[in-house]
Amino acid sequence: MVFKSKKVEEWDKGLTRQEKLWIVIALVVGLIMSVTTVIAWPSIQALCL
Amino acid sequence: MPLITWGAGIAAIIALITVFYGLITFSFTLAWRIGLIEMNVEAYRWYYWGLGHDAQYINLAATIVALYALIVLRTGFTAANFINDKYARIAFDLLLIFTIAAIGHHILVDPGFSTIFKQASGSVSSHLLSVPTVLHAFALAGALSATVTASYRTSLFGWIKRIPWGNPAIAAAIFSLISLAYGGALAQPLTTLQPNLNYHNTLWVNAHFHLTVVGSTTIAFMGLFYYILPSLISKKLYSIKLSKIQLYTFFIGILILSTGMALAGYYGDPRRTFMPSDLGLPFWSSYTFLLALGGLIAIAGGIMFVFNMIATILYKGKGGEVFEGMMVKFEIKNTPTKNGAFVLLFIILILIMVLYFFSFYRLGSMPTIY
Repeated sequence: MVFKSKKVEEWDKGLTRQEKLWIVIALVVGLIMSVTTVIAWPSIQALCL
Repeated sequence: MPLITWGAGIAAIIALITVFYGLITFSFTLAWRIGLIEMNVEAYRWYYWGLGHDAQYINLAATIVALYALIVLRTGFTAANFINDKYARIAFDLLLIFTIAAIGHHILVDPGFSTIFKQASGSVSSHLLSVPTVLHAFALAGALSATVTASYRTSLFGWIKRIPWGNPAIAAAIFSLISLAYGGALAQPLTTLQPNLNYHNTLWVNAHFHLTVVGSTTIAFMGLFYYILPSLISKKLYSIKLSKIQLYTFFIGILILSTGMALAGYYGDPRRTFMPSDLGLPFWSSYTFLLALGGLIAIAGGIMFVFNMIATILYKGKGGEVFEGMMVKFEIKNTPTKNGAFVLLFIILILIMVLYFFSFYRLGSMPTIY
Protein backbone atom coordinates (compact mmCIF):
# COMPACT_ATOMS: atom_id res chain seq x y z
CA MET A 1 0.00 0.00 0.00
CA VAL A 2 1.15 3.52 -0.71
CA PHE A 3 0.63 4.82 2.80
CA LYS A 4 -0.45 3.41 6.10
CA SER A 5 -4.16 4.11 6.47
CA LYS A 6 -5.44 6.57 9.05
CA LYS A 7 -8.35 6.36 11.39
CA VAL A 8 -11.32 8.66 10.70
CA GLU A 9 -10.57 11.11 13.50
CA GLU A 10 -7.01 11.61 12.24
CA TRP A 11 -7.96 12.89 8.78
CA ASP A 12 -8.62 16.52 9.59
CA LYS A 13 -5.54 17.29 11.69
CA GLY A 14 -3.30 19.23 9.31
CA LEU A 15 -2.12 17.84 6.00
CA THR A 16 -1.48 14.11 5.79
CA ARG A 17 1.80 12.80 4.36
CA GLN A 18 -0.14 11.60 1.34
CA GLU A 19 -1.60 15.08 0.74
CA LYS A 20 1.81 16.73 1.13
CA LEU A 21 3.27 14.27 -1.36
CA TRP A 22 0.40 14.93 -3.80
CA ILE A 23 1.05 18.69 -3.58
CA VAL A 24 4.73 18.05 -4.39
CA ILE A 25 3.79 15.75 -7.32
CA ALA A 26 1.33 18.33 -8.74
CA LEU A 27 3.94 21.11 -8.45
CA VAL A 28 6.65 18.95 -10.04
CA VAL A 29 4.37 18.09 -12.97
CA GLY A 30 3.48 21.79 -13.43
CA LEU A 31 7.15 22.77 -13.26
CA ILE A 32 8.31 20.03 -15.66
CA MET A 33 5.79 21.28 -18.25
CA SER A 34 6.80 24.90 -17.60
CA VAL A 35 10.52 24.24 -17.85
CA THR A 36 10.02 22.19 -21.02
CA THR A 37 8.31 25.05 -22.84
CA VAL A 38 11.04 27.51 -21.75
CA ILE A 39 14.07 25.39 -22.67
CA ALA A 40 12.58 23.89 -25.84
CA TRP A 41 11.86 27.24 -27.50
CA PRO A 42 15.17 27.83 -29.35
CA SER A 43 15.24 24.36 -30.95
CA ILE A 44 11.58 24.48 -31.93
CA GLN A 45 12.08 27.98 -33.31
CA ALA A 46 14.88 26.64 -35.48
CA LEU A 47 12.57 23.92 -36.78
CA CYS A 48 9.59 26.14 -37.51
CA LEU A 49 10.91 29.50 -38.63
CA MET B 1 -16.33 29.65 7.25
CA PRO B 2 -17.40 26.31 5.69
CA LEU B 3 -15.25 25.02 2.84
CA ILE B 4 -18.06 25.31 0.29
CA THR B 5 -18.63 28.96 1.24
CA TRP B 6 -14.87 29.55 0.97
CA GLY B 7 -14.84 28.05 -2.53
CA ALA B 8 -17.92 30.04 -3.57
CA GLY B 9 -16.15 33.16 -2.23
CA ILE B 10 -13.13 32.39 -4.45
CA ALA B 11 -15.51 32.03 -7.43
CA ALA B 12 -17.07 35.41 -6.50
CA ILE B 13 -13.63 37.12 -6.30
CA ILE B 14 -12.77 35.74 -9.76
CA ALA B 15 -16.14 37.05 -10.98
CA LEU B 16 -15.34 40.54 -9.59
CA ILE B 17 -11.94 40.53 -11.31
CA THR B 18 -13.69 39.47 -14.55
CA VAL B 19 -16.14 42.36 -14.27
CA PHE B 20 -13.23 44.73 -13.58
CA TYR B 21 -11.46 43.59 -16.76
CA GLY B 22 -14.73 43.93 -18.69
CA LEU B 23 -15.19 47.46 -17.39
CA ILE B 24 -11.70 48.47 -18.50
CA THR B 25 -12.07 46.74 -21.89
CA PHE B 26 -15.36 48.30 -22.87
CA SER B 27 -14.69 51.74 -21.32
CA PHE B 28 -11.49 51.77 -23.33
CA THR B 29 -13.35 50.82 -26.52
CA LEU B 30 -16.06 53.43 -25.92
CA ALA B 31 -13.48 56.15 -25.25
CA TRP B 32 -11.71 55.21 -28.50
CA ARG B 33 -15.00 55.08 -30.43
CA ILE B 34 -15.99 58.60 -29.46
CA GLY B 35 -12.51 59.91 -30.23
CA LEU B 36 -11.20 60.58 -26.71
CA ILE B 37 -8.14 58.28 -26.91
CA GLU B 38 -5.94 56.50 -29.43
CA MET B 39 -6.44 52.75 -29.65
CA ASN B 40 -3.72 50.62 -28.08
CA VAL B 41 -4.43 47.27 -29.69
CA GLU B 42 -2.22 45.18 -27.41
CA ALA B 43 -3.66 46.72 -24.23
CA TYR B 44 -7.18 46.11 -25.56
CA ARG B 45 -6.43 42.47 -26.33
CA TRP B 46 -4.86 41.92 -22.92
CA TYR B 47 -7.81 43.36 -21.00
CA TYR B 48 -10.29 41.65 -23.31
CA TRP B 49 -8.76 38.26 -22.51
CA GLY B 50 -8.64 39.21 -18.85
CA LEU B 51 -12.41 39.28 -19.20
CA GLY B 52 -12.69 36.21 -21.44
CA HIS B 53 -10.21 34.02 -19.58
CA ASP B 54 -11.23 34.80 -16.01
CA ALA B 55 -14.90 34.24 -16.89
CA GLN B 56 -14.09 30.57 -17.55
CA TYR B 57 -12.59 30.17 -14.10
CA ILE B 58 -15.73 31.39 -12.38
CA ASN B 59 -17.27 28.22 -13.87
CA LEU B 60 -14.35 26.08 -12.79
CA ALA B 61 -14.31 27.32 -9.18
CA ALA B 62 -18.10 26.99 -8.98
CA THR B 63 -17.96 23.49 -10.50
CA ILE B 64 -15.45 22.35 -7.87
CA VAL B 65 -17.69 23.79 -5.15
CA ALA B 66 -20.62 21.87 -6.67
CA LEU B 67 -18.57 18.65 -6.71
CA TYR B 68 -17.69 18.96 -3.01
CA ALA B 69 -21.37 19.63 -2.30
CA LEU B 70 -22.54 16.65 -4.37
CA ILE B 71 -20.19 14.14 -2.77
CA VAL B 72 -20.79 15.38 0.77
CA LEU B 73 -24.58 15.84 0.58
CA ARG B 74 -25.34 12.58 -1.19
CA THR B 75 -23.25 10.40 1.10
CA GLY B 76 -25.13 11.77 4.08
CA PHE B 77 -22.03 13.79 5.09
CA THR B 78 -19.92 10.62 5.45
CA ALA B 79 -17.49 11.88 2.77
CA ALA B 80 -17.07 15.13 4.74
CA ASN B 81 -15.01 13.14 7.26
CA PHE B 82 -12.40 12.55 4.60
CA ILE B 83 -12.08 15.99 3.04
CA ASN B 84 -9.21 17.89 4.56
CA ASP B 85 -10.42 21.45 4.98
CA LYS B 86 -6.95 23.00 5.06
CA TYR B 87 -5.77 21.13 1.97
CA ALA B 88 -8.89 22.04 -0.05
CA ARG B 89 -8.59 25.72 0.95
CA ILE B 90 -4.95 25.81 -0.20
CA ALA B 91 -6.13 24.43 -3.56
CA PHE B 92 -8.87 27.11 -3.86
CA ASP B 93 -6.37 29.87 -2.99
CA LEU B 94 -3.87 28.64 -5.59
CA LEU B 95 -6.68 28.57 -8.17
CA LEU B 96 -7.31 32.28 -7.55
CA ILE B 97 -3.60 33.22 -7.74
CA PHE B 98 -2.84 31.34 -10.96
CA THR B 99 -6.11 32.33 -12.66
CA ILE B 100 -5.05 35.98 -12.42
CA ALA B 101 -1.57 35.21 -13.78
CA ALA B 102 -2.54 32.91 -16.64
CA ILE B 103 -4.34 35.20 -19.08
CA GLY B 104 -1.60 34.92 -21.70
CA HIS B 105 -2.53 31.59 -23.27
CA HIS B 106 -5.13 33.50 -25.29
CA ILE B 107 -2.47 35.66 -26.97
CA LEU B 108 0.11 32.96 -27.72
CA VAL B 109 0.14 33.65 -31.47
CA ASP B 110 -0.25 37.43 -31.15
CA PRO B 111 2.86 38.98 -32.75
CA GLY B 112 2.53 42.15 -30.67
CA PHE B 113 3.65 40.53 -27.40
CA SER B 114 7.18 39.36 -26.65
CA THR B 115 7.96 35.64 -26.56
CA ILE B 116 9.13 35.82 -22.94
CA PHE B 117 5.91 37.56 -21.86
CA LYS B 118 3.72 35.05 -23.72
CA GLN B 119 5.67 32.15 -22.30
CA ALA B 120 5.53 33.48 -18.73
CA SER B 121 1.84 34.33 -18.66
CA GLY B 122 0.56 32.01 -21.37
CA SER B 123 2.47 28.80 -20.81
CA VAL B 124 4.17 28.76 -17.39
CA SER B 125 1.25 30.29 -15.47
CA SER B 126 -1.22 28.07 -17.31
CA HIS B 127 0.71 24.93 -16.39
CA LEU B 128 0.85 26.09 -12.78
CA LEU B 129 -2.91 26.74 -12.98
CA SER B 130 -3.36 23.01 -13.51
CA VAL B 131 -1.77 22.41 -10.07
CA PRO B 132 -4.81 23.47 -7.95
CA THR B 133 -7.13 21.50 -10.25
CA VAL B 134 -5.00 18.39 -9.70
CA LEU B 135 -5.08 19.04 -5.92
CA HIS B 136 -8.88 19.24 -5.95
CA ALA B 137 -9.07 16.06 -8.05
CA PHE B 138 -7.24 14.18 -5.30
CA ALA B 139 -9.37 15.75 -2.54
CA LEU B 140 -12.58 14.68 -4.32
CA ALA B 141 -11.55 11.26 -5.62
CA GLY B 142 -9.76 10.59 -2.31
CA ALA B 143 -12.87 11.48 -0.31
CA LEU B 144 -14.92 9.11 -2.43
CA SER B 145 -12.43 6.27 -2.15
CA ALA B 146 -12.08 6.79 1.63
CA THR B 147 -15.88 6.79 2.00
CA VAL B 148 -16.24 3.54 0.05
CA THR B 149 -13.27 1.81 1.71
CA ALA B 150 -14.59 2.81 5.15
CA SER B 151 -17.71 0.77 4.35
CA TYR B 152 -16.26 -2.10 2.34
CA ARG B 153 -12.95 -3.93 2.37
CA THR B 154 -11.66 -3.70 -1.20
CA SER B 155 -8.50 -4.11 -3.26
CA LEU B 156 -6.51 -1.08 -4.43
CA PHE B 157 -8.99 -0.33 -7.24
CA GLY B 158 -11.89 -2.42 -5.92
CA TRP B 159 -13.54 0.71 -4.47
CA ILE B 160 -14.30 1.87 -8.03
CA LYS B 161 -16.67 -1.09 -8.46
CA ARG B 162 -18.32 -0.30 -5.11
CA ILE B 163 -19.09 3.31 -6.03
CA PRO B 164 -22.88 3.71 -6.29
CA TRP B 165 -22.88 4.35 -10.04
CA GLY B 166 -26.68 4.30 -10.06
CA ASN B 167 -26.93 7.34 -7.80
CA PRO B 168 -27.40 10.43 -9.99
CA ALA B 169 -25.39 12.77 -7.72
CA ILE B 170 -22.40 10.47 -7.33
CA ALA B 171 -22.45 9.59 -11.05
CA ALA B 172 -22.67 13.32 -11.89
CA ALA B 173 -19.66 14.08 -9.67
CA ILE B 174 -17.55 11.34 -11.27
CA PHE B 175 -18.62 12.17 -14.85
CA SER B 176 -17.82 15.82 -14.17
CA LEU B 177 -14.35 14.91 -12.87
CA ILE B 178 -13.66 12.64 -15.86
CA SER B 179 -14.72 15.42 -18.26
CA LEU B 180 -12.48 17.88 -16.42
CA ALA B 181 -9.48 15.51 -16.59
CA TYR B 182 -10.04 14.81 -20.31
CA GLY B 183 -10.52 18.52 -21.09
CA GLY B 184 -7.53 19.44 -18.94
CA ALA B 185 -5.32 16.94 -20.76
CA LEU B 186 -6.32 18.47 -24.11
CA ALA B 187 -5.50 21.95 -22.73
CA GLN B 188 -1.80 21.24 -22.13
CA PRO B 189 -0.62 21.43 -25.79
CA LEU B 190 -2.92 24.42 -26.31
CA THR B 191 -1.42 26.50 -23.53
CA THR B 192 2.15 25.78 -24.56
CA LEU B 193 3.76 28.26 -26.91
CA GLN B 194 5.29 25.71 -29.30
CA PRO B 195 2.74 22.83 -29.66
CA ASN B 196 -0.03 25.43 -29.76
CA LEU B 197 1.11 26.10 -33.35
CA ASN B 198 -0.32 22.70 -34.33
CA TYR B 199 -3.60 23.05 -32.48
CA HIS B 200 -4.35 26.78 -32.56
CA ASN B 201 -7.84 27.64 -33.83
CA THR B 202 -8.63 24.05 -34.72
CA LEU B 203 -11.58 22.03 -33.40
CA TRP B 204 -9.16 20.71 -30.73
CA VAL B 205 -9.87 23.98 -28.85
CA ASN B 206 -13.62 23.32 -29.00
CA ALA B 207 -13.04 19.78 -27.73
CA HIS B 208 -11.20 21.23 -24.72
CA PHE B 209 -13.87 23.70 -23.68
CA HIS B 210 -16.81 21.43 -24.49
CA LEU B 211 -15.35 18.94 -22.01
CA THR B 212 -14.59 21.49 -19.31
CA VAL B 213 -17.65 23.72 -19.61
CA VAL B 214 -20.38 21.76 -21.40
CA GLY B 215 -19.19 18.51 -19.86
CA SER B 216 -17.75 19.15 -16.43
CA THR B 217 -19.61 22.30 -15.34
CA THR B 218 -23.01 21.41 -16.79
CA ILE B 219 -22.97 17.85 -15.48
CA ALA B 220 -21.96 19.00 -11.97
CA PHE B 221 -24.79 21.52 -11.88
CA MET B 222 -27.30 19.06 -13.35
CA GLY B 223 -26.40 16.72 -10.48
CA LEU B 224 -26.70 19.54 -7.95
CA PHE B 225 -30.06 20.64 -9.37
CA TYR B 226 -31.47 17.18 -8.72
CA TYR B 227 -30.80 18.05 -5.08
CA ILE B 228 -31.61 21.77 -5.05
CA LEU B 229 -34.96 21.75 -6.86
CA PRO B 230 -36.66 19.16 -4.61
CA SER B 231 -35.22 21.09 -1.61
CA LEU B 232 -36.64 24.39 -2.84
CA ILE B 233 -40.17 23.19 -3.59
CA SER B 234 -40.27 20.36 -1.00
CA LYS B 235 -41.28 17.78 -3.57
CA LYS B 236 -39.81 14.50 -4.70
CA LEU B 237 -37.99 14.43 -8.01
CA TYR B 238 -40.41 13.44 -10.78
CA SER B 239 -38.27 10.51 -11.89
CA ILE B 240 -35.02 9.32 -10.29
CA LYS B 241 -34.68 6.70 -13.04
CA LEU B 242 -34.90 9.38 -15.73
CA SER B 243 -32.25 11.45 -13.92
CA LYS B 244 -29.86 8.47 -14.06
CA ILE B 245 -30.56 7.83 -17.76
CA GLN B 246 -30.26 11.56 -18.46
CA LEU B 247 -26.82 11.93 -16.86
CA TYR B 248 -25.41 8.86 -18.62
CA THR B 249 -26.88 10.00 -21.97
CA PHE B 250 -25.54 13.54 -21.64
CA PHE B 251 -22.08 12.38 -20.52
CA ILE B 252 -21.72 9.80 -23.31
CA GLY B 253 -22.94 12.40 -25.85
CA ILE B 254 -20.36 14.95 -24.69
CA LEU B 255 -17.57 12.35 -24.76
CA ILE B 256 -18.42 11.36 -28.37
CA LEU B 257 -18.86 14.98 -29.45
CA SER B 258 -15.56 16.10 -27.88
CA THR B 259 -13.61 13.11 -29.17
CA GLY B 260 -14.90 13.86 -32.70
CA MET B 261 -13.83 17.49 -32.27
CA ALA B 262 -10.40 16.54 -30.88
CA LEU B 263 -9.70 14.12 -33.75
CA ALA B 264 -10.85 16.62 -36.38
CA GLY B 265 -8.76 19.34 -34.68
CA TYR B 266 -5.73 17.07 -34.49
CA TYR B 267 -5.85 16.78 -38.27
CA GLY B 268 -6.21 20.54 -38.69
CA ASP B 269 -9.97 21.09 -39.12
CA PRO B 270 -10.36 24.81 -38.33
CA ARG B 271 -12.88 26.31 -35.97
CA ARG B 272 -14.76 29.58 -36.47
CA THR B 273 -14.20 29.24 -40.23
CA PHE B 274 -16.57 28.29 -43.02
CA MET B 275 -14.85 25.53 -44.96
CA PRO B 276 -16.05 24.85 -48.52
CA SER B 277 -16.13 21.10 -49.17
CA ASP B 278 -13.45 21.27 -51.87
CA LEU B 279 -10.95 22.86 -49.45
CA GLY B 280 -11.47 20.48 -46.53
CA LEU B 281 -9.71 17.14 -46.13
CA PRO B 282 -12.08 14.27 -47.00
CA PHE B 283 -11.54 12.31 -43.77
CA TRP B 284 -12.55 15.30 -41.60
CA SER B 285 -16.17 14.38 -42.28
CA SER B 286 -15.87 11.07 -40.39
CA TYR B 287 -14.78 13.00 -37.27
CA THR B 288 -17.37 15.73 -37.71
CA PHE B 289 -19.95 12.93 -38.05
CA LEU B 290 -18.91 11.81 -34.55
CA LEU B 291 -19.25 15.42 -33.45
CA ALA B 292 -22.81 15.60 -34.81
CA LEU B 293 -23.77 12.21 -33.37
CA GLY B 294 -22.43 13.11 -29.93
CA GLY B 295 -24.17 16.49 -30.11
CA LEU B 296 -27.53 14.83 -30.85
CA ILE B 297 -27.09 12.37 -27.96
CA ALA B 298 -26.12 15.23 -25.61
CA ILE B 299 -29.14 17.28 -26.74
CA ALA B 300 -31.37 14.28 -25.95
CA GLY B 301 -29.79 14.22 -22.47
CA GLY B 302 -30.41 17.96 -22.10
CA ILE B 303 -34.07 17.59 -23.09
CA MET B 304 -34.52 14.80 -20.52
CA PHE B 305 -33.06 17.10 -17.83
CA VAL B 306 -35.40 19.99 -18.70
CA PHE B 307 -38.38 17.61 -18.86
CA ASN B 308 -37.54 16.12 -15.44
CA MET B 309 -37.17 19.58 -13.90
CA ILE B 310 -40.44 20.93 -15.34
CA ALA B 311 -42.28 17.70 -14.48
CA THR B 312 -40.95 17.94 -10.89
CA ILE B 313 -42.35 21.47 -10.57
CA LEU B 314 -45.74 20.55 -12.11
CA TYR B 315 -46.03 17.08 -10.58
CA LYS B 316 -48.22 16.90 -7.50
CA GLY B 317 -45.82 14.54 -5.69
CA LYS B 318 -46.46 11.39 -3.75
CA GLY B 319 -45.60 12.68 -0.28
CA GLY B 320 -43.05 11.08 2.00
CA GLU B 321 -39.38 11.98 2.36
CA VAL B 322 -38.24 14.39 -0.39
CA PHE B 323 -34.91 12.63 -0.98
CA GLU B 324 -36.20 9.08 -0.65
CA GLY B 325 -34.20 6.80 -2.95
CA MET B 326 -31.62 9.50 -3.71
CA MET B 327 -29.21 9.25 -0.78
CA VAL B 328 -26.45 6.68 -0.45
CA LYS B 329 -25.78 5.39 3.03
CA PHE B 330 -22.26 4.50 4.09
CA GLU B 331 -21.27 3.21 7.48
CA ILE B 332 -17.76 3.69 8.75
CA LYS B 333 -16.76 0.14 9.64
CA ASN B 334 -13.21 -0.16 8.32
CA THR B 335 -10.10 1.99 8.28
CA PRO B 336 -10.52 4.31 5.27
CA THR B 337 -7.80 4.74 2.66
CA LYS B 338 -7.18 7.06 -0.26
CA ASN B 339 -4.42 4.92 -1.75
CA GLY B 340 -6.50 3.73 -4.71
CA ALA B 341 -7.39 7.31 -5.70
CA PHE B 342 -3.74 8.35 -5.26
CA VAL B 343 -2.43 5.66 -7.60
CA LEU B 344 -5.25 6.13 -10.14
CA LEU B 345 -4.71 9.90 -10.35
CA PHE B 346 -0.94 9.41 -10.57
CA ILE B 347 -1.46 7.16 -13.63
CA ILE B 348 -3.75 9.81 -15.17
CA LEU B 349 -1.08 12.49 -14.55
CA ILE B 350 1.51 10.33 -16.30
CA LEU B 351 -0.84 9.94 -19.29
CA ILE B 352 -1.33 13.73 -19.43
CA MET B 353 2.45 14.19 -19.42
CA VAL B 354 2.81 11.64 -22.24
CA LEU B 355 0.27 13.58 -24.33
CA TYR B 356 2.13 16.80 -23.54
CA PHE B 357 5.51 15.47 -24.64
CA PHE B 358 3.95 13.81 -27.66
CA SER B 359 2.73 17.25 -28.76
CA PHE B 360 6.36 18.46 -28.77
CA TYR B 361 7.44 15.36 -30.69
CA ARG B 362 4.66 15.96 -33.20
CA LEU B 363 5.72 19.58 -33.74
CA GLY B 364 9.35 18.53 -34.12
CA SER B 365 8.30 15.92 -36.74
CA MET B 366 6.57 18.49 -38.94
CA PRO B 367 8.19 19.07 -42.33
CA THR B 368 10.44 22.15 -42.31
CA ILE B 369 9.33 25.06 -44.46
CA TYR B 370 12.59 26.88 -45.06
